[in-house]
Amino acid sequence: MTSIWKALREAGRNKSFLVGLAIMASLIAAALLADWISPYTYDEMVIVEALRPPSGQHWLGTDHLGRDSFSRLIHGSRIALKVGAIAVTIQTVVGVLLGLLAGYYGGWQDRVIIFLTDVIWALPPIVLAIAICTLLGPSLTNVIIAIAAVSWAQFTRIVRSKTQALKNMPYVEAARAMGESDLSIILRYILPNVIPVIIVLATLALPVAVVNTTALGFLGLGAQPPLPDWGVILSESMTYIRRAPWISIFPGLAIIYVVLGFNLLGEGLRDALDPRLKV
Amino acid sequence: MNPLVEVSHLEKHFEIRSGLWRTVSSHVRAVDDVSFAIAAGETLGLVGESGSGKSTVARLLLRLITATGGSVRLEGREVTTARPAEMKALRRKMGIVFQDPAASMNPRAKIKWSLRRPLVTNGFEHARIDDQILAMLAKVNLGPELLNRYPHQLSGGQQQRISVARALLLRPRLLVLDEPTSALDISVQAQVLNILLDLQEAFGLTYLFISHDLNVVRYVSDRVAIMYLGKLMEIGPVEAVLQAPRHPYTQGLAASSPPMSPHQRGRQRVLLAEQPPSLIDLPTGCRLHPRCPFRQTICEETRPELRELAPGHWAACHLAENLPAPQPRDT
Ligand SMILES: Nc1ncnc2c1ncn2[C@@H]1O[C@H](COP(=O)(O)OP(=O)(O)OP(=O)(O)O)[C@@H](O)[C@H]1O
Ligand SMILES: [Mg+2]
Repeated sequence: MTSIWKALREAGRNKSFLVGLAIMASLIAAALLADWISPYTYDEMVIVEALRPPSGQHWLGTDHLGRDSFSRLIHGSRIALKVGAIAVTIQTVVGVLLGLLAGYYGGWQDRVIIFLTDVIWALPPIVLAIAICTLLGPSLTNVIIAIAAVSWAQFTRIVRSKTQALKNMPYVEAARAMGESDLSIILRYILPNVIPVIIVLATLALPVAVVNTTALGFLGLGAQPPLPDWGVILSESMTYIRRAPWISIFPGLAIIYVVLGFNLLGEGLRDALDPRLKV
Repeated sequence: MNPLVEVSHLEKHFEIRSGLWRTVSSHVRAVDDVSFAIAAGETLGLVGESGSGKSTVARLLLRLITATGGSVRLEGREVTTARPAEMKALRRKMGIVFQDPAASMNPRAKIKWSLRRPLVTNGFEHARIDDQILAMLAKVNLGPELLNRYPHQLSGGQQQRISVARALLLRPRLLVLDEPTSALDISVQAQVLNILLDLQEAFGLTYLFISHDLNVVRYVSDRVAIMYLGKLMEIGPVEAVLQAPRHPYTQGLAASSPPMSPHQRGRQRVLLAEQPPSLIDLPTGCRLHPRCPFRQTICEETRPELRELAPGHWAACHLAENLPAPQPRDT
């Protein structure tokens, strides 16, 4: 495993990786310390203070119910990261397992799994996610299910083709020749060589999951008010976009911040771990 | 004497799938009706052009791929249909070393790990594993300092000696060597070959030695088998086959291999025309006929069987008795 550490040290010299790392660290800090950082709770309403522009008292202003926008934004990062991380974990585990299975065994297993990925790929992911959330009902759990359901296929595709290449490597054949079982070969010989790719894919999948979470929240299919999901904040603020543009601008910037940070991080990792891999 | 390995009518046809439904559109007949035996303690060389099916035969012997037909027996026990428990026992009796030493070990694991795995997975006593590894390293002239390195930190010769050590840790009876020295520098080749010969003597090993290089094959083998397009063309004692080949294909191979001494330069050469045909659309009759300078009508119509032309020397050529006598190959 030291080669992963060596690659990380290499990535440490890469500027975009470091910027991405700093952005990720700030997001995680915001999410973990939200209660401590925010001056107000996210649902404390002071109606007389409604639609105030940014000031010393309310750094990012207040919304139509007089809630502090900064506190809501910070608490929103918690929802974005939590939902994103869980969804990405699920899609990674499912996608990688199916990819290993299809790539290693080939045959009918491969054909069934590839057919499923083709079906997923044929549909625009957000449309499919909307359909799933509509079917299951609006909740954060269902958002996680929907996002994982539309995003596992890219993991499967790439892990499968990596596995196909690796399983014909002499060291894998040598392992079989000396009596290693299929399970041992997959877990000990193939998986460790696919992990760098998986790390890169997962890093790049996180901002996509966050964007999808907010999109579903915006459409009323995900988190429900008064939760400070960035998508929910955006949809609530639409009515006041002329009078109080700050309510919608800052969640928008937050989404850009997440996307930018994780893309820089993922691309830095990709260049360090496997320069030949251009996803 | 009973042979250690008996291969009979071995076949491997790879399916080529294409189209929307991935249906089988054609077959690659990589190994077609191949039979031979290897006696305990002997080295059988296996020679042929690229794509003739040598590696496929090797992988079939160890059942790394499933045979389409035929049988492989090791000490009389059938390998191609053995059940998992018996297969695991059979695997301990066979080892393999591949051509590319850099790709023969898990790149993310230390050498120590790669050498422990075969012993651990076969249930060896943990306390004795490290001693066994050190003893085997010494046999391939390597020291314990390599154990904590990664494969890419070793030279090609060291990597290949580690591959040999790993294959021998389970004390197999048969070692399949698939071009074990062709990726190495000339100076290192000789070193590895000599280690292989020493190990064969020390452990009483039986070798199937695959190579392109007739000089190497001649150096290590007792007998040699010549393969072309998935079929055995000639098999027999190495001196007889390489010095006085009875098959035009072997004559062509011998003529195109670099001579070991300048005396051979003037000798008559059988030159094989063109490239070998495709394995999907094989010639009728003798597979060599489109390239053979001696071909007759019978060669296009009837498939020649291996015939014993001298004791232990077999060739699959209709015209073997009537070929112009090739000049003996000097040493
Ligand atoms: N998995 C596979 N699927 C399809 N065709 C295959 C497969 N493996 C091998 N072949 C084909 O079978 C034929 C024999 O291959 P093989 O590797 O046994 O040749 P070889 O004699 O070892 O050649 P070389 O000297 O290049 O190693 C080749 O035409 C090859 O393309
Ligand atoms: Mg080969």
